[in-house]
Amino acid sequence: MINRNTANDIWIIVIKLLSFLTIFLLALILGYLIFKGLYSSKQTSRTVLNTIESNLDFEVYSSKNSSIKELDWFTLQKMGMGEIKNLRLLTKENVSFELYIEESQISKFASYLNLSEAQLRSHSIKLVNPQEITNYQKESGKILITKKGEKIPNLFKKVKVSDDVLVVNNSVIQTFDNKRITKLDEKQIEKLRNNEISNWSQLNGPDLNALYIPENQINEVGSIEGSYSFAKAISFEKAGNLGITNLETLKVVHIIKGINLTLKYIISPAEESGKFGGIITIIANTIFLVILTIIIAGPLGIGAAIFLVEYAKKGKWTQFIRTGIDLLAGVPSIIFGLFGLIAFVNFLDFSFSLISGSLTMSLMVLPTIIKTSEEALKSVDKELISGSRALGATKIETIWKVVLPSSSKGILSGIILSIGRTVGETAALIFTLGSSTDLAKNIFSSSRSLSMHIYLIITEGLAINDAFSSALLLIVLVLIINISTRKIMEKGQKKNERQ
Amino acid sequence: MKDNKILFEVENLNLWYGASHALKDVNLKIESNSVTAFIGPSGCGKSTFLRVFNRMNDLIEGVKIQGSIKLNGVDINKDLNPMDLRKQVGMVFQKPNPFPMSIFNNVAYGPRLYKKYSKAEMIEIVEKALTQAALWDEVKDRLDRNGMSLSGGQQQRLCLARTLAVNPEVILMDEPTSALDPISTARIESLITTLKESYTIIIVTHNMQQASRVSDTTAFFLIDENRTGFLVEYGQTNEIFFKPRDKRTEDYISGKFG
Repeated sequence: MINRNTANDIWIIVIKLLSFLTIFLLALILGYLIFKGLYSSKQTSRTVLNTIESNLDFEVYSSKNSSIKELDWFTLQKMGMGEIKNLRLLTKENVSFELYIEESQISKFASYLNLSEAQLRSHSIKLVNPQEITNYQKESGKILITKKGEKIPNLFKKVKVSDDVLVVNNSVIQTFDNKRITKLDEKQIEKLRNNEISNWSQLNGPDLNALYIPENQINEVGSIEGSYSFAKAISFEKAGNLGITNLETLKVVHIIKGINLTLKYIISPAEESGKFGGIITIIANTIFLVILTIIIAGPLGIGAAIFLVEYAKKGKWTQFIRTGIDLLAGVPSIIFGLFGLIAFVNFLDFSFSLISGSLTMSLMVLPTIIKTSEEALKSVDKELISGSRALGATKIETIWKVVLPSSSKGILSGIILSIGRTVGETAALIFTLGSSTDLAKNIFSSSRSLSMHIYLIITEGLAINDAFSSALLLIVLVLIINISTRKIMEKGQKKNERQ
Repeated sequence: MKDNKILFEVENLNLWYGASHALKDVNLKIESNSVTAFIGPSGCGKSTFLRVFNRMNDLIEGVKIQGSIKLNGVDINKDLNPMDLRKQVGMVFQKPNPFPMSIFNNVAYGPRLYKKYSKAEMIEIVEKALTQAALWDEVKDRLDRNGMSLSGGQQQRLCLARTLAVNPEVILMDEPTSALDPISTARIESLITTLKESYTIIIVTHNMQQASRVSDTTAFFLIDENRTGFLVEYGQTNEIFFKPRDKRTEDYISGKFG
């Protein structure tokens, strides 16, 4: 028989453990979301390795406000050939740029890229002379090729150029045992450089001896199985042009670590359906959706609650209405979405728009608002109502001046719940809100909300990092809305208590 | 009896809560500038009867009234709007019920229902009402504090000030001191005596000593075997207490039941 005191102590420990566990799990989830939202780690593979030492005899600069920090040889070559005119493949910015070359550097640049001067000039590369550069006032959208050691104004920042590649005989990337290697990570590259690898099987490759060939004999790589060389990209290309076959490059896994959610991302508008740009338009649309929903559902719900509490005669009809409201509260959101699709999008011909979405969400949150408002109204002291009526106030005056202010906290909590539901809703909005990422012009514009955005990012297979940053933003948004609504209501209370 | 005019005239008043007959054949007259006490055992209907005077029973579902009550000759049920009636007939409740607003707004609540006042006018009205309720000195420096932050006795005086602010003719009091301590009770009782000069007061009380202290006339109610309340005796307070005509009154006064 366990002594009653011991049982009490055991239960207290159990309860404490459970609550710590819950809090811990919550903190874990939040922490993970915050981390992933703020800090992204994107894995790509690229052909060029990180350059150990640069031996360029010219310098590359980019406009300071672009986020380009480094360029690889292949990209630079494409720029020179006029094939790339927009930064968007390199960064998330939808910014076009112009390539500017100092006259004196043209031949150096051309030979570096294995192009002819004529090729460079023919692609409307802009020529510039050093004096012009020092006179630039405002700068954007320029990539500059200048003389080494030249003084460049602060409007530009230096760009690192990577041009090393790992050239291998194509036997290295052949399929064996249903697998093949196409890329290595930094550690494996390091091992190769340090001559620690004697056989490709050590790197999960085929059973071939790894033979190092110095760069100046790169053509040999084409004929010796298992051979490799660390060479400049231009050597690789030249060898290819000479007709050396069986030359391949092994890609390197490149992890881009960086800040995921930047301030710029938050305040820039989304462009091209969210592929580029920022997210402010989606945030704004979400806020519009919330405001519109509350404007519709708030008065309706509170009014219905007032009717049920103060005016409805107790009987079968009120019971029927109450049951109906409870039922409505349990209906799955996707059914509201379908209803919204039929009723608002099609029948009323509002199409996919803010108004369709808000009307649908209003229906969804109405039961919540009615129930919480009802509870709040019921909990008002009947004595206060008597006191007001005894002074000669009408029923409506009493409701407006005494009952509603007294129940405002409860009503507000219902509103906050509804806001949270609106912001987090996806299923009902997919069919009614639309999917445009542009700022809504009026209530009939198609738009998308933040949680829809997360859903659409993942289903469209775009960067998961965006999903996390959007998720973090969503949490912050809900937090801000909650805190500010509470502050506004508290201010209203304080005002009520003063003159 | 002083030669005051008749303010209220109640004739053959009957009241039902649904099927239950709560008050039977009540007849009495209330004079102006007097204090009338309704006494009787619990459940005899005296609070119900009090509420008839300002039609607060209307707020309860299923209440039916038969008979007439006239205020200054006007039938309050047939010929008077309840809101207008309540402007003339105010009420203080058993449990103090200040609104969750500032003291100032509590007192200003009533007058603001009827007219838009300037700030200066309102301040004057509030000060006058709080002074009449003997509360002004205690709260004049904190008029914007919440009314519910006052003590019990102060809250009740606030409710009294609230009622006085609309300048009624009659003040109904439903056991106004039963929730208060003896000192607050004494203050309210002395207020009643002062207010009598300007107002007519009807007070329900289960405290016989209170009734004998403050009232000019007393009405004694009892409940019959059908649980229906009825008026046993009505007259000058000192007669009721020292020379009651009905034996039942005498028994109640002397504490044989209660």
